[in-house]
Amino acid sequence: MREIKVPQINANDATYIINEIYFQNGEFVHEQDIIASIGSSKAINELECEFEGFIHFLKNSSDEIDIGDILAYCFDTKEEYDKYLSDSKKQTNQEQNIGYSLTKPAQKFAKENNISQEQILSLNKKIIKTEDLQTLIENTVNEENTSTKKLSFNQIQSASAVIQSHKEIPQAFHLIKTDCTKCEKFLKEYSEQTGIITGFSEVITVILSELFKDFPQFFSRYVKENKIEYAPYPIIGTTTDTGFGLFMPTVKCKNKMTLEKVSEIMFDFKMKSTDNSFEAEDLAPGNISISYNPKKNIISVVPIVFPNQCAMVSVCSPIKELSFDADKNIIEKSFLYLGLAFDHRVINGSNAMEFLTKISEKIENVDFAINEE
Amino acid sequence: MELNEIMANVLKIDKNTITDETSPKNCENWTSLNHLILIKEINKNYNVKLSFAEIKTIKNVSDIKNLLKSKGVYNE
Repeated sequence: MREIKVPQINANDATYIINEIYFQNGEFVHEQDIIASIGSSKAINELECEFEGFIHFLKNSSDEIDIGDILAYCFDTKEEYDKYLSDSKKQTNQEQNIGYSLTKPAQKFAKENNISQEQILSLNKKIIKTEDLQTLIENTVNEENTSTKKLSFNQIQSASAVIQSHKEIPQAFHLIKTDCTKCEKFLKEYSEQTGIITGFSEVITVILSELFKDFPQFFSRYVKENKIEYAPYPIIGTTTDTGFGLFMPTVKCKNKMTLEKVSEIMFDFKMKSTDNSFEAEDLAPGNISISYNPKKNIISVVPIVFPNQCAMVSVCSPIKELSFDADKNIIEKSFLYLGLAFDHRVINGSNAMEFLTKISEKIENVDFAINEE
Repeated sequence: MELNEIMANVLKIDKNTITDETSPKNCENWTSLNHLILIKEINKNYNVKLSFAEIKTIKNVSDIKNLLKSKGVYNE
């Protein structure tokens, strides 16, 4: 018997919802058959079977599942599968014996009022009558009147990633002020001359891809027993929000990335974000992320470090300030506050400051050619 | 929907003020985000899929018209 587990689909979510199951229990599946589709908060992904054999699902459509949960078992032979069914039936009977029993009117009442098994179990009674269920409903209504509301699925997903990050990663945060006047001017000219719409998010993506060689630990992930695993190449998560939801697609930088190439990829992501037409590959986990927060007057945000990553760079909109030029004349300049949240087990403070300073210097001395290719 | 109507809806401007020369340079509401939404609406309404290379050539309304004409989906 082999286990089919739920893989990590993207960096944002630890819990998914089963959208559809394509096989009946007991059916024979082949390797690479699509057995189910699973919805994350961002996209629907199809799951391929890694094995061949008789399949038995432990979950149903619309069930919630976590990364690593067993979705199904795959049995090599029909005999092995039949034995499993027989064993599980015995176990179910035992469980029923220690559960509860509903009277017939209570069964009808529970069905009419959509009372879940979990709610009934909370009564802690062996025999459940209609009046027990009426009390249960009254208490639930009272609870609802105290202004409680269940969080949305997306918020629960985000919370799960945040909790996991805070639980596992001792995080630190550095902030640096960057003069982006020259870069801002460059971006304006670049867009006017090439017709390519681009911004700081794209610039920082290119910069991070360039820093991979000298700062590989920022793209690594902590694995148990005080070891880290280096990434083969940069995969950079970039927050994309065009008003239709927040997404974190990833730019895969196998080869040298130009500003034009990154802008093209990120433009495509922005288009996809308007109707949530991302493909699973777009939202594949990255090895570093950029949190881009373009809301006016937000100076800085402290992001989490995603589980399985070591660092996240945060950037907000430029802030205008008055400054002196070399001749002590007052001039207007633009500044960015660049933040870096990092896993302190892997990266020490001075490395983090060096990395952040390098990003800052590259922004200040922007040296992208306008016609790069 | 006519091109001018699409532009007026996305850019939130009076459609009678739109000329061939209207561009991000002279229209304050033609921001990078609205540019993106404009492309999305053009793709949807004219049943086309403008490529990145084509989108790069758009500097003003006239360029959009020429692009759509070249695809045989726009007549003056």
